[in-house]
Amino acid sequence: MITTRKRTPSNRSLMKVGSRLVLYALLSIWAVIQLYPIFWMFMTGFKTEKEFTLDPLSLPGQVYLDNWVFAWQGGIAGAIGDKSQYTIPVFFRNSSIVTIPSLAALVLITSLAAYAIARYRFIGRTIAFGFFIAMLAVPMNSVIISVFILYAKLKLLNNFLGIIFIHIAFNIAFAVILLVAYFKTFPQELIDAATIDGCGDFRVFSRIVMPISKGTISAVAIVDFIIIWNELLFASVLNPKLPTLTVGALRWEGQHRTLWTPMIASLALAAIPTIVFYLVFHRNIIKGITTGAIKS
Amino acid sequence: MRGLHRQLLARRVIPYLFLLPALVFVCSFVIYPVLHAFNTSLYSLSVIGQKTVKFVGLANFARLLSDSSTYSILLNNVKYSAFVTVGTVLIGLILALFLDQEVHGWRVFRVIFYLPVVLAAVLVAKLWGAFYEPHFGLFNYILRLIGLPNLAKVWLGNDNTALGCIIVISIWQYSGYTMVFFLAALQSIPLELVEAARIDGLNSTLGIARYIKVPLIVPVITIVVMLQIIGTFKIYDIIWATTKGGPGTSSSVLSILLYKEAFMRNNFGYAEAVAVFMFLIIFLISITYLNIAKFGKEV
Repeated sequence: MITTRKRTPSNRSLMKVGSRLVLYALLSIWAVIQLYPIFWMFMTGFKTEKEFTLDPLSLPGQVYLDNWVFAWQGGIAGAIGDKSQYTIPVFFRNSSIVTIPSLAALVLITSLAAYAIARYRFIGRTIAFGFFIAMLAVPMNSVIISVFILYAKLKLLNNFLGIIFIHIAFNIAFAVILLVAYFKTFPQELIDAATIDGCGDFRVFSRIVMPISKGTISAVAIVDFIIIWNELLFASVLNPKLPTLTVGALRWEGQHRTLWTPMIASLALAAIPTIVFYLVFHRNIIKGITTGAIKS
Repeated sequence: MRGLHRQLLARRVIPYLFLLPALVFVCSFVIYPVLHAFNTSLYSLSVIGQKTVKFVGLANFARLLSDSSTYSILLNNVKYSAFVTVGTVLIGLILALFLDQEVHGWRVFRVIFYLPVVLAAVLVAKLWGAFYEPHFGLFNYILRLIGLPNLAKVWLGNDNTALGCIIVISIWQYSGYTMVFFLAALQSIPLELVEAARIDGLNSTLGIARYIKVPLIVPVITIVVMLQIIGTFKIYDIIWATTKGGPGTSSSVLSILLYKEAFMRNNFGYAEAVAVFMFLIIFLISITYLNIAKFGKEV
């Protein structure tokens, strides 16, 4: 938890009023810089192509919905293959099919492993932990070709299982490290109480530890959600026929032969799930990544 | 007696069982592929299932290291990493220090500043691609508007500016990322320390920032810099989605080279050599950093 400090009189910043105004001004300027592109994206989606080419900066003169309908139906010129097949709803579905099972499996697998490392004494414990830390240094790029070849042999290409497996594998290291730090702080009394009551190790884990740890575990899951949802390399190489949102977006071009405003509307549509997810879970996301790093 | 024996045995075995699924996944889908990459890099493999696969030893590496484009690509990696790391860390640190000044609504600012981080690189790339577009793009439009049409360029199509433009995009996107780390660290500094400094006469905000706060969060800064260096070295998404490494190889990086060699030119053996090369470099960077961190702790 990030603690906020008490506002005692001595705590108040010594900055002069003028300096504080400058501070707020600078922060606001950066806020505009961060937000404007996103705002522009949505705004442009409501413009007609003519409006856009005339003045990209202006507000739309009316609420022009065609772009959004067009985008939803996948009518972007230059879309991959059969237009009717590769629409935004399809991409969204594929992204979900890839992300959600990966997360579910990830939560289970990494909690088990992290719990073992954090709370059991066994030979190879330090090696195991060091192993996961070392895994952080392995880049996806170095592995993609081998995995591609392996999947070609195993017929796991263009198969949701294949990409789910690889996403699980690659996010284990990060999640385990975060969760080990967390499980180390788990109160032993609760475990003891459950053991005395006759629970075996797995019961203790599933009935006591996991429910109580929901908060941290969901923070980790939420961070991983973003990582897997936005991922491009594995999705484009291993599953080109089952494109996720990112892979689908790759083909959206806005050059001379195509229209700009529908493309930008498509970008905006594709961004909506992420933005909504973020606005709901932003606390967990930030908490998830910072507590891990600070503790390590 | 037997029951107790079985129980004790179960006790000893449980942690290994818990660890097993994670290990299976990592070994199958991370370790094995890496080893396979090392192995394949020693062969000339062009098509999967090819009947004649020649063992060529270190020839792929020799070719990699003797190709001049490799070095310009590597230089791009260095440029990208350096500028993006420095840019995001500096801006993130400044933002964090600002927000640490009892700013009303600092949480709102934090939400805003972190938002670009969670957007998919592909989306950000396409969006900024629209900004950089020579005819209708925002930047050139504004340049023409304020009377500087000569500065209007084909940003992403120009050898000299392509990589720089991408660097700008990444700094825009990831300054919030570094900021949240620094902010969390700053907020965990006990007030008494700041108080003590004030009582001792250090009154200015700038002074406190420079001499108290920043030194106290140096460990976090080190970690964030390491994360950024490693992360920017692996970069792929944003570059592929804006320029695909073009024009030519002016904005190409190792990951792009790897992809092109493997999936466009089908030189799997050579591409695996690039993969091994990347792995070794990142491994080296990580080890170096861990040693610096350890050394820093002892000091």
